[in-house]
Amino acid sequence: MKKSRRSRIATQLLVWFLLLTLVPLVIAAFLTTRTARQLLSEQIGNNLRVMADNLGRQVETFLRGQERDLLVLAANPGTAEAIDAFSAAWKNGALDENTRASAAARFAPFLRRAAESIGTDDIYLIDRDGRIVFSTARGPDFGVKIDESPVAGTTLGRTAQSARFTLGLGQSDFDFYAPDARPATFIAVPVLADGKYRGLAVLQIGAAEINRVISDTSGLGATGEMVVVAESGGELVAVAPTRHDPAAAFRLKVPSAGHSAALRASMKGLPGSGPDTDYRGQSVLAVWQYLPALRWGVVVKIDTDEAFAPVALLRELSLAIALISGVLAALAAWLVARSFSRPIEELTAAAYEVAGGNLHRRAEVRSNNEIGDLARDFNAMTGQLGEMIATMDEKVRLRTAELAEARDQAEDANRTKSAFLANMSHELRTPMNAIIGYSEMLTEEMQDLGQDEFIPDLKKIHSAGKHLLGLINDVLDLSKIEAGKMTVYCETIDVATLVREVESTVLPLVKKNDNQLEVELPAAAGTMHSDLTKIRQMLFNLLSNASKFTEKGKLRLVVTRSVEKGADWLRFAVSDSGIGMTPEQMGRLFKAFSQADASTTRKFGGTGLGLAISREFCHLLGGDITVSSVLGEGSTFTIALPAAAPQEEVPAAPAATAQTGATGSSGRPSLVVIDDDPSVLDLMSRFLTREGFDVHTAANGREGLELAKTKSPVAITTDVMMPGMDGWSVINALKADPDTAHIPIILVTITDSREMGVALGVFDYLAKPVDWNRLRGILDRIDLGAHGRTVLIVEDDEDARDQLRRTMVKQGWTVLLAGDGQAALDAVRETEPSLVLLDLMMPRMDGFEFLDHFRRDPRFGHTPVIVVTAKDLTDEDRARLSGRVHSLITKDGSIVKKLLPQLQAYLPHPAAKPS
Amino acid sequence: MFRLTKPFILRLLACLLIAATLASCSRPDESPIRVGILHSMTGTLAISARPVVDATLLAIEEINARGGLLGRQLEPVIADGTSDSANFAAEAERLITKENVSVVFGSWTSSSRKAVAPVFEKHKHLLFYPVQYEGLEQSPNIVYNGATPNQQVMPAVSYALANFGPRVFLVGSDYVFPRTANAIIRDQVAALGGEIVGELYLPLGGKNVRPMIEAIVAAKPEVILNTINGDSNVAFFRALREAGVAPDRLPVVSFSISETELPELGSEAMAGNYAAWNYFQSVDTPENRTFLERFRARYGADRVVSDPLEAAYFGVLLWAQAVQAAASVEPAAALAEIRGQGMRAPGGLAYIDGPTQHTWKYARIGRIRPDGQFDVVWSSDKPVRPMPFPLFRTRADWESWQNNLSGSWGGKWVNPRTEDVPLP
Repeated sequence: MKKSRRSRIATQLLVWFLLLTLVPLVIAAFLTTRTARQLLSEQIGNNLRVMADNLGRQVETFLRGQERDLLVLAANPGTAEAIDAFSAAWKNGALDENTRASAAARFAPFLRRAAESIGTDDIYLIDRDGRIVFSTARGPDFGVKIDESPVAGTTLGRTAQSARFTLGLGQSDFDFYAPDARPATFIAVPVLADGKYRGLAVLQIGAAEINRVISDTSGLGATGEMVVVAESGGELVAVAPTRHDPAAAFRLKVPSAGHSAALRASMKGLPGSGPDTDYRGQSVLAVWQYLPALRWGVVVKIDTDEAFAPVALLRELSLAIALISGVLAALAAWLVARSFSRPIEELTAAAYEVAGGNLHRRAEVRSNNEIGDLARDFNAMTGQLGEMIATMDEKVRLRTAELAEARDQAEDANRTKSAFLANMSHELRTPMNAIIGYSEMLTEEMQDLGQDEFIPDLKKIHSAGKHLLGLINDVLDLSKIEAGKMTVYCETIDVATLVREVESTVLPLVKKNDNQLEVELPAAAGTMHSDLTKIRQMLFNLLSNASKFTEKGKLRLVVTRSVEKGADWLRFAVSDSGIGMTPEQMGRLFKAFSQADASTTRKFGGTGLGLAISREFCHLLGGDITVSSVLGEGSTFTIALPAAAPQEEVPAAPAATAQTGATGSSGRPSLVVIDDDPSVLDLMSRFLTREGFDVHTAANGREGLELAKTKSPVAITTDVMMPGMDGWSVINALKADPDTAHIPIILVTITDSREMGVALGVFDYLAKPVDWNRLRGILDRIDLGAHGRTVLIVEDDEDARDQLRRTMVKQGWTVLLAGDGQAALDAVRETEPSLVLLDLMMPRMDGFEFLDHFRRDPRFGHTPVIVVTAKDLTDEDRARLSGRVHSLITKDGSIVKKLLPQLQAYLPHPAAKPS
Repeated sequence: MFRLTKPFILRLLACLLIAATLASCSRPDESPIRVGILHSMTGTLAISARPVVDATLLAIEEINARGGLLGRQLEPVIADGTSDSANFAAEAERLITKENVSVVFGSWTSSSRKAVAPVFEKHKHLLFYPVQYEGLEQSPNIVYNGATPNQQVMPAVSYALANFGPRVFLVGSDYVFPRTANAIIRDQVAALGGEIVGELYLPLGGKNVRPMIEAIVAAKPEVILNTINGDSNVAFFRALREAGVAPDRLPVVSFSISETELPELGSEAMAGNYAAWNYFQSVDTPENRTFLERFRARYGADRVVSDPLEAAYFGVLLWAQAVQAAASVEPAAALAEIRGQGMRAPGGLAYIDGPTQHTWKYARIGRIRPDGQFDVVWSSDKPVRPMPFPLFRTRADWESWQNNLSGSWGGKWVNPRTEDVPLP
């Protein structure tokens, strides 16, 4: 990581340095060479132009010089005389040699001197008839007329004719002159004397003179040259030798297309310059112009390579500079990158160590620049960090103490609130019980007495009381839920029983609005492990709601069982054909203190808490409640609950008690009712008496215990909250006493004490106000006689086993025998014992292990087990047995004597299963 | 931290390049180049001068169409000389000093040229003169695109003497060109052994041709050499016809009658007469075909062109070449570069002669066809070197002769007399 960062800085710097050095350099080099090339091109062009101009001027000057000399000659009266004299030698096309000779003697020296001074090849004199009457060279053209062969049509002929015609200067092209068989140019001038035309004087200028003028290549470098072309015979040909081709004159022809474009351009009259390819195929820089005097095209040119040699040098120089700059820039970039990355690396290393916990690490400050500042700041920061961490512990401790104090205060407040709630529940419900109970009782008595006129009022009292109590209960439930105090008591529930019970309970309510209730219960509804009371309350709530909001309709309770996501689920769907709800109303439905709308509260009553409570219950039981509804068509509330609620099993205390079968003096089974509320005692005794029990009431626990002992009741009902000895103490005392341990105890209480009751081994539980029907159902379960007792004796010692067997048989028990835990488990697979006598120390499977397996079997969750052992039990052993066995008999002394008093208590009961 | 993103680098490079380019270029002047056109838009010479203005404008438009000159458009400023020499001088002064033109193309008739020449010389300015003239002049501030006598008059005289006979009658307008031309012609006829049988002048624009016709009929010449200018020709030729003078018996060789003037004179009646010029519309060169197409596309298919139009046209183009070469529109700079400028003009190669600032050009003689065009009966075999001063006399002699002429006219270049009088 360090490496890569460093290389990145170096790379970036390198790129930037190279960019900043090379880009301007390259641009500068480009512009410089371009400018240099332009300047050079211009300068060379100018130079070449000057040469071309010079050439033109030289040629012009030369020709004008010749011209002037010729004009001087023509103006000389001697010339006219000479023409006349020479002309006189010709008569009718024939030469009179004598006359000519005399003329020559007179004029030839003068004319030769003139030719010499002019520097010409030849001077011709042409007479008025156009005949060449004199020629210093006296070539084949001598004596010929200019409009006759071979002169006619030649440069000489044409020029002489033109001069004669215009009486002006005639200048011929520089072209091949056939009569002399060499290139030449002619200048012709009319000779006038006394205003009369006398003939022509003509100069011939040969190639030698012309070449002298145009072959000067000084200042043209190593490759520069001039090329002069003219039209000859319809073709463009060089008229003089060139530097690179001395034999070019009248041999080097310019093609009509392709190379030598400059030469063709020169003939167009327009001066110009530019790059060209010359006759050698060389790339050249050329300047061209036209010389009208001789109708010449002139090109002055120089090879591009030579012309731009300085530019090439400049380019190479720029390249070298760029290379050196690049290398220097790279070096600088590397050095700068190193000077940056080193302190940064040191700082990074320090940061890593500090991050690793070493707060004493300080970065080394290497430089005095920004990075140095950063390092110093980093060090300062690290120091502060160390200090902060040092003081942190103290701060945390202080804050924790504050929080603990706050928590304690909150808990105190909560305890106060809970106590208040508990108090209120008792204080509120006690009078309500009286109101409800008496109104019921009075109703029944009035019916018996036939005084029906009071009954409606009594029923109103009863109904109002029930309603009020319901409200109180709901409020208290919600308070508990909100306080998180609502506990879940899970037990095994037979779903069918539960539903039937709810059905029967709710039926009067259903009938009240002329509704019909339809219950759909699958045959294999089976059991579930959950909180019975809560489920019952929820179902009741939903059904009573359904009844309330439906008139003359149909209610349905549909129970289904399904497996979802690997869990067993039960669904209780309560549907009605009532008023239904809008989606908006449904949204509010499960909020506390809210009904579908405010008006329903006024119309139908209720706190609006039922559904909120139901939902909380469902959540507690691991499920949920949902609703679907169509306005005007009805609603369906569905409670979905797992068959096994997510609740740890509450260890079951010895639960079922057996029936003594004792009857009171009246011959009716006696029953003890313990309650500190006289109204409850009064109501209970009235009801139970009517049910055929011999009722003994006790206003406190002590009294109750007394009665339990003396009256041998088939069952005892007791309140929990009582002054003096409370219900729990009573139960403990009853269970502790062998005489009363077997008597089924029914808790009748306002408090939600079911859990406690089960733990203490009560037979069943009733909430105040007493639901008489439920009470009747519970009492029905208490079997008043004994039957079907089967005992399983698990004992490895054969003697001991036999002794126990004989004792139990004598007591009228059917006996199953097992030599160890494994054999015992095999035995119970077929026959369900109602009592187990269990030794602990056994081979194969000992008593502890047997108990583990036995209790795991749902059938035997509550089957009484009496441990008969010789083992000196440790605390650990006792803990293992605690809550799982009903009593313990040590094998010292007479086992039978200890066992016998207890057997009575474990007489099996049809409803030994918990309800 | 900066990041070297690709777009960023590209932008940077672009900026550097633009900066470098801007630094290396100076902003060129894009204002138009003003060029003066000075001709008689009104007056007796307008008939001849207006088409010359058209040809001048055509050349200017061609230059503008191919992107102007030195990156600048040409803006013509047309001034009217009103066929009056004094006005020519005044307008030339105005064009140079007020209109700030870089060059002036124009003047028709030597009298107007002589009137403006001092103005151009005073301001060291530049005039391109498009019409044939009498020679004897070499102003450093005038580029002469018309013919000198040896390019027009002298070949015509030789041709006339050789083809029609030695008896020559000279007629002309009474101003500097005809007078000078006839002086030369007299020299030439004398040198070649011919005979001048009469020489008469009309005032410029004069219509009283009767005495002249009578003199011609009386003199019985074999050829008439005509230097009459402007619409006097209409009267002259009508009177000539009325007098029963037919071209086949007495041909007239004119030096100021071209395709432009022929329709007015009656082409059919003129057929058989001759004119000497450097250029005829009928000249068969590729350059001429292009020129004719462009001119007619611009001004109408029925239009004709003539020698002064051609000279005016290539004069503008040669000036443009000189400006291009000088890279400056300053008159002095263009003048320095005008020497040696040449081109293939519609009439053939035209080339500015270095020493004289006159133009090398072909000399031609044409016979008038009934359709108003010319059959070229003679042509020089190559461009003829301009010789402003004919060889018959020295330059000094010619100049003093002309000064005497002007002196006799009170310093003017047109005879102030109104009567048609023969030369003494």
